[in-house]
Amino acid sequence: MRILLTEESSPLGGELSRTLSTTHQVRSLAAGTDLTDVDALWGAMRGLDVVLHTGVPLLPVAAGDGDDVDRAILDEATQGMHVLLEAVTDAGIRRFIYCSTLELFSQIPDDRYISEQWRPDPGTDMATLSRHLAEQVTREFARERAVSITILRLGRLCREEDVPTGHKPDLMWLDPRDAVSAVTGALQLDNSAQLNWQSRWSVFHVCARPPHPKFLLDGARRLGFEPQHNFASAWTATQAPA
Amino acid sequence: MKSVLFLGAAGLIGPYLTPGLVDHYDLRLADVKPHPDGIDIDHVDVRDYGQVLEAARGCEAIMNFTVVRNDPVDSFHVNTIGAWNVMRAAVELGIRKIVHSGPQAVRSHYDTDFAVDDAPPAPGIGPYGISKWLSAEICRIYSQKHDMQTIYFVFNGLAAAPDAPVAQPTDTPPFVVVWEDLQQACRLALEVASVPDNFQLFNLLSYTGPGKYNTNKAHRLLGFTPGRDWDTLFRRQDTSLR
Repeated sequence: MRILLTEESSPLGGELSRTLSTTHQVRSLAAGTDLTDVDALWGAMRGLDVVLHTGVPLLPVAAGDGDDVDRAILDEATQGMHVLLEAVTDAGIRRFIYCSTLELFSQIPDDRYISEQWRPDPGTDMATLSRHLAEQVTREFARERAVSITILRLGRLCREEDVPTGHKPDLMWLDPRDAVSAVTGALQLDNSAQLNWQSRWSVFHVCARPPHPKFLLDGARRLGFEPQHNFASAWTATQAPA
Repeated sequence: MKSVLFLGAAGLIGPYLTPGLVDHYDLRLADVKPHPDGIDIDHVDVRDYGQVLEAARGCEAIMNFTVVRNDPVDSFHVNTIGAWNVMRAAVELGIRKIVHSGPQAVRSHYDTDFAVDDAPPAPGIGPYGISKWLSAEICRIYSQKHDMQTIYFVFNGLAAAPDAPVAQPTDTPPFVVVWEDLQQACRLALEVASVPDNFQLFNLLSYTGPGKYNTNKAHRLLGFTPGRDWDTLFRRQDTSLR
């Protein structure tokens, strides 16, 4: 497949670029691309099968104070997502994957079992609120355009072997290699010809499978997803007798 | 007398809404353009957080009736980022009441249905509808996280009340609210102590005869009732001709 990554400079973007390049034609938007720049995006949409948004903001948010950064993130997640999906669908690309986040449920107590049926509770922190609003934009495009949109709500990226001994395990951990596995599954999902828009917009929760999970992964089985890195050592350590 | 910041006071709605509020509230009128009647107002650009914050200082409520319709950039900047600025300013200043306007377009996918009242928003991908829907999500999330009350009105058109029955065959105006009814609704919104879940989105229309949209929820939760049965003005006058 010919895949466009929105970026490859983040840990997730880098992992996706390296791994997917072994079996697909992968390129990424030029560093510094402004997602609200219609012309820049239109020019980048040639000859693609899939656009893969890693969810990582692209704007140079290092400059400015917190308000400026939050505003830039909000603008990119709303107007920028709108511009991006206009370009994607106008170019006839039938598949779009957006890496959202399970942080949308971090404010819900950990004693709940959370599936894709649960309403996100993003709170007002812009890093999470922006992901929720971006998801809303993608949903409307799936409703109106013949595009298959897959939302992968990824857990907190953490490589299993990098967990220090004695580190408290996290219900939201996800090994980057498993994240790539979920994306690979999503690449195979093409519902763009489905008449019912709800079939064209799919959401999956993706994280490791701890002994007593908060996030249920039944939905992601549709992607063939089964996490291989479940941080067993870290969880076992928490259950060991004192 | 409750002090209220009225953003968008010089727009297509504000000048018709103000007369029904000015005797009840200490209004601080604000907009980016001069008032059409030459009334002295504060220059406040809702896209600028600092301006919104200063304008709202000392107020007990904010009415945000700013809007940019189908502009691919400013619809997002005014409607979405503007709403974010309003809610942040309210949090910072401890203002607990927001009255917000939005378009019928957030329910545009129900235009072929009937008895539509509390339906989930489905704005489509037009910049106007989706940017306003995102504003509603921002209002909801901020209201629920910060214990504020937001009353969010959606309507399509605003018009003077007819002063006589129609003389020619005329369809009932769709999703249109007459000035007096909007004034009444805003007074009710400013006075209501609370609404369920701290946020409610209400249809607002004066003509319910066709049965497509209704205002049952606004009646139930706010006590809104159109000032008179406006539908009676859209009747055949001579029923002897069949």
